[in-house]
Amino acid sequence: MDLLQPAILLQLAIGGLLAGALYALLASGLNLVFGVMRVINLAHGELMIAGAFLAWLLYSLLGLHPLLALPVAMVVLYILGFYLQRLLIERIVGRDELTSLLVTYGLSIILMNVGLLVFSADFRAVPALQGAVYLEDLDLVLSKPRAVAGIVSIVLTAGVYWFLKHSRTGKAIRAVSEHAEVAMICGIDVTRIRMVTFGLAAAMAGAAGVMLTTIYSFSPETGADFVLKCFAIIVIGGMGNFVGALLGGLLLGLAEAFVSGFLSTQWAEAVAYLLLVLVLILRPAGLLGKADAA
Amino acid sequence: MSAPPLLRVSSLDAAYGPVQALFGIDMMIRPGEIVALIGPNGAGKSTVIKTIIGLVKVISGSIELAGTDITGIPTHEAPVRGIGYVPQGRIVFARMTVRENLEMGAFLQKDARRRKQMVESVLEQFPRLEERERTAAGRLSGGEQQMLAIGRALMMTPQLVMLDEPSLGLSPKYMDIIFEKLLSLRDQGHTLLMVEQNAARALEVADRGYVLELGRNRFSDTGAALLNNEDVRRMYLGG
Repeated sequence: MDLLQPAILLQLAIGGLLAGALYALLASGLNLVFGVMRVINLAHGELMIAGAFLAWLLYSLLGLHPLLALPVAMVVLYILGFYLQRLLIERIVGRDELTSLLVTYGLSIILMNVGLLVFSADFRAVPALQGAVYLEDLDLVLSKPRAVAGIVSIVLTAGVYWFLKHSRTGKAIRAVSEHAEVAMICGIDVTRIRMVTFGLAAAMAGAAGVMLTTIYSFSPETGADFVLKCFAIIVIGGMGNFVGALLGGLLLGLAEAFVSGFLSTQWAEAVAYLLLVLVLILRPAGLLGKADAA
Repeated sequence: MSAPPLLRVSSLDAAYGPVQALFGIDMMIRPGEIVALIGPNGAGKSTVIKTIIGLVKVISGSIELAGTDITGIPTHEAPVRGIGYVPQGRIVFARMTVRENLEMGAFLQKDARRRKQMVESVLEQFPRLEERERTAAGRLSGGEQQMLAIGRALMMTPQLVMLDEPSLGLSPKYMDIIFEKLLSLRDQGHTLLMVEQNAARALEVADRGYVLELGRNRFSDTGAALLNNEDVRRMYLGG
């Protein structure tokens, strides 16, 4: 079979972009937190899984559709993130990287084990959206859950981008990420902005988790795989650069789709790290990073 | 004989962590004055300003603005108390536009329409910034960035504007423009406190000056008198 037919390439590209959008949603939150407080939140994946279990609970207990669980999970995760920042993360802002990595790694272990205790290590899924549609004109098969997850991710990522670009609070978040001290003398309560930022990032992770339930099966341990990929994505796109995370996420989605299409799915798992090494050699500050940003 | 002081600093001790930097600083500024803080490196000039806006911790002593005690306020309250601050090194939000930088100066104004009016009125005072309002601030020249930092500090129409080394690293042409701007701000009724390493230039425009050394008051007098003071000339003005 000739794999280089336009229809197959299109199929892989669309599938890759949709998967990449979910990565982008998750990685954008991680990058936002890094940009504002120079903290790599290794518990970001567990926040995503918290969103996933919330969606699973709401579906199993109340029959709530994941798209309706989405706003619930985002609000719950926002509040959780807001107070996590206040009680824990705020203490490590401005400390060295090792301290912040240890603390967030510890947090991720705690959250994962609470998940294992409460939900066990069984894999779950939410079979709410199923099936596929065939678009005759394009000769394209779209999996319904993947299309919905991809579109929701794109809309949410774009929404957060708009918020950062145009709203008063969003501009304050950008100001704090550029220079916290000068933001303070402008009258911005920097501590509060950091709480809002962490809450927002947690809500984005939670949303990614809800959408994840419709396309993958997951367990409390699934978050760890994702956070490593997200870390690769933000390094590829440019640390602290919101658009960089979006670009990096889409790129990884595409690369994984093409590698699993042409080589094998095992190789697709390695793509993130191969891209990471490539970018670190050719463009160490990331695709959209500035060379002096470090 | 003269108006009551706008700012009064009394017996101020302040420290960076365990290292004490200010020892019993006394200072006052009357409304409508330009006051310069001069002295050698490490004299604590910038520390005085940073202590007033709560960036450095007060050990003892007091700071009063217009009769209200503002000792040890959280930094983000400085604009509410009527203090504008131009940081050293003309720090602007480089990735934000000129207009967004000014908007940040009026962050405390929650009404978007009022905020917009405030941006317009500051832009009117700085025609060069108005031309470049959509440019990322990081792409402005050094002098333009200093103008922007000053404009940002003026957004909330502060009672007192404090400038940390406003001429540092600027071309001679922009140095002139900045000092002229400071004089015109005073003529509009602003009160200014500036820290300057360029002591001669600062004392020329200042009504009064304080000379600090090792975190202590050394001399204080009118700008002109300090310029002609033998000791000050020898020690700080290069002969």
